[in-house]
Amino acid sequence: MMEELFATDVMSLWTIFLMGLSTYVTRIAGVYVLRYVTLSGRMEEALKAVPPAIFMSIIAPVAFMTGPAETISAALTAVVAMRAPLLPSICVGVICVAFLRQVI
Amino acid sequence: MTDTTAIAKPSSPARDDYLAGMKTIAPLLLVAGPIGVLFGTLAAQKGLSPFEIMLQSALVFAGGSQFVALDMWAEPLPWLTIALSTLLVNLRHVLMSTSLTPNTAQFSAPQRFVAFFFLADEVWALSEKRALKHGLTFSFYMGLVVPFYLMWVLSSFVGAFLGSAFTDPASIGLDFAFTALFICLVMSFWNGIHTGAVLAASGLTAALVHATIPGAWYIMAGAAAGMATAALLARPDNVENRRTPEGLS
Repeated sequence: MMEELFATDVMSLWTIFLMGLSTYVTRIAGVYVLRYVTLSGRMEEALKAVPPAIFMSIIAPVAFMTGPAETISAALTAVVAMRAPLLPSICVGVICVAFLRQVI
Repeated sequence: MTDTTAIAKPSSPARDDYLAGMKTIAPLLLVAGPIGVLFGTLAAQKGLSPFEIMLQSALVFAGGSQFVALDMWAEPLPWLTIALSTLLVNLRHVLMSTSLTPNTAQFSAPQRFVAFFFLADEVWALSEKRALKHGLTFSFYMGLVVPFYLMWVLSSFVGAFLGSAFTDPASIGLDFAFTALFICLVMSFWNGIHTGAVLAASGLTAALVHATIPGAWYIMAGAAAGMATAALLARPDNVENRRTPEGLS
């Protein structure tokens, strides 16, 4: 049991290490970007748009290009999220998509 | 808990900030838990041992890229492809850390190096939101990070043992939880018609690129389109306006 639990090999460890390193590089890089670049008003506006733009990009393929169940559930989640707190909104989306996938 | 942040903000001691961070992240723990279990389950089916699964969650701590890596996990292990894909999927973190860095003025340099190791999407989003109204302290940030990190690592470990319990997560809509979470986050950044234009540009671009170019380029393309739109719409007298996210209780 203990051997199965800790089973590993050099290639897996190496791959996991490289994944961790790649991720840390992307996370720490931003600290240096601003040291060498001065922000104009326009660039600052662009930087402020990064959060919603990235969220939208992650959503888009699932919401618009997967099927009607996903598109309808995404729209419903967005409407509910304007009024309701985070967790209930997510639950509405998940229940809606599960239901529509059975029906459609 | 007597670090420098307490001196910088006497009205809000470090301990209160840490607890406020924990309170802020609490709802997301319930989202991250099932996703972590799902990751562990899928990883176990790919032949990773519980130790390897927990190690990956602990060292990488980036759900999206971990799922992408699982997709490619096979014998012999394509380690270079996996490492490059991880870099690509996580390139968005360069933008995130660039955007957050000016808001970490209260962090010491070593604190920033530790903190940014844990800069997951959700941690970053809630930190930006906090910085808008209160200013961001290291204590608040760690209040977000510690429970979220422990939840991610432990839930993926639990998933490693559940094995076949979630054979078809799509049938109960669990795979959609990730998308629903990001929809809620988008809505919290809504600030009028300019936001709408940014979202339309990034959404359309991401969908088009996703359909035509393999890999995770669609995230960078959508981000670039949204940034370009925001820059074009910016008026010189308008640059001091800050967005005011609401919701995300």
